[in-house]
Amino acid sequence: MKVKIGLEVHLYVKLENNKTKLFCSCPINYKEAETNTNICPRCTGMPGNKPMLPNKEAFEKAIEVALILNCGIPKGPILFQRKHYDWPDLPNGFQKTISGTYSVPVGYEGKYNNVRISYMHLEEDPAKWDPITGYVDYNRSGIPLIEIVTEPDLIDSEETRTWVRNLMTALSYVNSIDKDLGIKADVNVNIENHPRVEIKNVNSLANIKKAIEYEVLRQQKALLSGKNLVQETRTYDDKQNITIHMRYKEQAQDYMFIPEPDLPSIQVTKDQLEKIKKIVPESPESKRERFVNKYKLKKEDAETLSSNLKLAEIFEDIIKESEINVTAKLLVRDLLSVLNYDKLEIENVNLNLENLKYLSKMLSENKITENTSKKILIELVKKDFSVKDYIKKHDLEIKSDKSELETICKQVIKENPKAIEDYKKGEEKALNFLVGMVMKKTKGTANPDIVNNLIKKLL
Amino acid sequence: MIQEKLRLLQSGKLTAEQNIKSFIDKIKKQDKNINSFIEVNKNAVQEAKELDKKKKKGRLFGLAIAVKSNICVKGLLTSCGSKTLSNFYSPYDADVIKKIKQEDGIIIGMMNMDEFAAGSTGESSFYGPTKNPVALDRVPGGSSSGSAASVAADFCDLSLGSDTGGSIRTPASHCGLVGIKPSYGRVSRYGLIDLSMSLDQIGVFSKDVYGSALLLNIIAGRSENDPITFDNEVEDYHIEIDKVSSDLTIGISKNFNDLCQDKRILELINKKIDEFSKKYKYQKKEVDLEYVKLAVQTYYPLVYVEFFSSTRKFDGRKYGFKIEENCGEEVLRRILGGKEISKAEHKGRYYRQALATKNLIKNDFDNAFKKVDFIISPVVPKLPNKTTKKITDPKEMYAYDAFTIPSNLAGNCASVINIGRIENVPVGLQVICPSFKESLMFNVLHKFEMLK
Repeated sequence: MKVKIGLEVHLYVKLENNKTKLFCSCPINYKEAETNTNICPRCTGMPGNKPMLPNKEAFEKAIEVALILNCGIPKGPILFQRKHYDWPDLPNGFQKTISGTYSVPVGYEGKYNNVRISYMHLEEDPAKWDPITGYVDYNRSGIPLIEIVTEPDLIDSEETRTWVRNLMTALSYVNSIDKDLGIKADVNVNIENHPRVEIKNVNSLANIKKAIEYEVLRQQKALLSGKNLVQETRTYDDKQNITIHMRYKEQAQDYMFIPEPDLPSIQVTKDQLEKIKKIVPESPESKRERFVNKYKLKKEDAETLSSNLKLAEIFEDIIKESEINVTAKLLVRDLLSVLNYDKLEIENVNLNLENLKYLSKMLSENKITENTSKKILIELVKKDFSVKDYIKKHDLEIKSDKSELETICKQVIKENPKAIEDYKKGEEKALNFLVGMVMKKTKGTANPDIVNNLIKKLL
Repeated sequence: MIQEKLRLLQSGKLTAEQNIKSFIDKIKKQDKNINSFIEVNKNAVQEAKELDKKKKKGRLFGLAIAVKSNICVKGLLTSCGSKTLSNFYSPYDADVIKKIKQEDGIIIGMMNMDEFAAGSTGESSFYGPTKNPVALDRVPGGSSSGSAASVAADFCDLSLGSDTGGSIRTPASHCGLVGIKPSYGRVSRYGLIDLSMSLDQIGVFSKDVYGSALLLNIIAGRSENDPITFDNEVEDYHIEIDKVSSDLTIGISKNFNDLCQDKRILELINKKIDEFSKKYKYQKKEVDLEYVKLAVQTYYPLVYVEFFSSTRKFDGRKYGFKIEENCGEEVLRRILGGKEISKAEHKGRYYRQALATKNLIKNDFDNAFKKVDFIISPVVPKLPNKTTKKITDPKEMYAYDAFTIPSNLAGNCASVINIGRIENVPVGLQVICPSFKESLMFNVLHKFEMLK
């Protein structure tokens, strides 16, 4: 039984300059603010209220998202629609959205990681309603939301989770989404040729996966026992890990969409679009492919490097002067594991690019060992210092001067008669021990190959 | 009259307190017969006293302004003439109210009106019908019935109304006043409770042209609170009122005249136009407004759908009364009708077609205004009904607005001035000008005023 999965992902827009709601000047920090303090006649739906022009920054961020997802941007006017439904969280009785029967979305017909994007658009968030107490907090009412709607191109829970995670990577590239405010997804699941079930408001990557797993099983079981499936809307209960029937699915006509008469249409101008195109970076998808094709990186390394825009940019900057493979190893294996260990994120660490460049260069030229490099990284993510000075000060450059190393080797041989005996009996391990002793004496800066050969020769 | 009153107030010969007090006394004595007020502002006299202490006096200093009950005034009952909002004391001022207060105008009270502005007679208010002070056996016209009646009865100096399909012009005609529906986008509607958002405009009533010109000059202009307002310069309508304009061409349309049921109204209007064109040596020209005949059919789908949408917030959760369970017949008809059209609208058949026809009517006017400077027409097709006669057929009621609706659809500015009486009932004449030509409109109105 072939499963088809489509998503409607809602994300909060990350605003930097104009941190206000979509149609009024109330602040958007609803989590910190005391209940019902970020409000005005507009976002509480007072009689006589009119929206202000939509937050321009939010609109431009939506275009950035559209572009990174390879969506088309309409050349004609974009008009907000009223989507009517009767619910305590909706103060005006309708939601202003760019979706709906006759709407022109912000972005249309995109594609990301082999999943087609039907459209993406901007809308206002409803208020927060507590069904148990009946209290409504309007702080959230009117906060700009981006909705991304996909075609049902996903086939299972794991693929869906991975896709959403990669989607978040793409969105982090344009810095348009406030991840701290969370993600809300409506997940459409159906078995081919059977009615579609919508699971509302699934709110994490893990829950998306679990909800799909449960729902697929539920539908398969129902079909196997000869039952008919119906088109319906369900909700995911993460405590019990089940989906529960909410209502039979609305038809679009039940929302009675009309174009918002209180707002003029919006036109994306050519200049505006050009300006935004300039700041939208290459998508992680094409970056990954380019890294594989151009730099012959392993697919996994390309994936890791492109999963973070800063990391990818650092990589491409360093390899101008250093070896590609050495650099990839330095970043993917060493830097990320050091960061991981300290639970740090690359965005939040004060990393001086010159230091990383220097490290990579020294590694590429075989002047320091990987071990040295890793030790330096551990210090470097804690505080910034000059790697060049540090190496000099602690005398960490690989010692390849044979006469100097020979003296040390001779000393080690002299100090370890037992090991020499063992080696002569044919125990390879003893050789490693001796090399290790030399490394210890040189604080790990000796070139291990040279030491190895030297000891063999001396014995 | 207003100019004279302002001179007295500005010079201190009349204090704001005296002005307001005399109105309040009169309202107390006489409004029980007219029922033009839903709420008198209890603080009005106190506010006037405070104003009298001020050194610098605003441009509306001490004038009593009556406000239609669908325009939010902080702390006053903004009921829309409906039980639905009979608890709603607005927590904020509409943009127009802020501007009036800034110029030291005093809000004297909240006026009676057809429930949610959905009517043309002034009879459908939850607070009872408004009487016509100048023709007591006739309806005052609506929906801004109280705003018109209060000016006509001298309960205030000026008043605010709203006009979606004639709600200012019809009562202005029936009460013998000047009534102005500004161009769509001229006045901010932030704080105006919706009837039909693509048509609603706030406008003014006065006894003389100067009063309306002054008040409109103050409330007009772009506001970020209402994104459909325009940046066009707000001219000094009241100062330029008698600017001499020569070589104007008057437009007359038989498309209007054919719809006029009471031919005595047409005769009176034609007589006035002749006088007018002779005195000012203006040319007359016939213009073709072919699609005006579709105005009423175009208007109602728009109003129904937009009204349905805008009343969804009156779900009973916040203001105590769910609109469908507490409103009158006409309001309910529009909500239920709007809901059905909206549902069927999924196929794009009604609302969007009405929007398209709206454009045809606008084009008609645009073409006409290439040939003429302004258009003159009747305001209503017949004399106002006797209060004893109830219109029960909605079609008959809707046809009443056939001359006023086209300007709302076209978005241009239109106005009414009294030109005489028939059967002792006031009759007005409508002057329609292109969008944002309010200045010209006030010139023309003033010239009619000078004919008397």
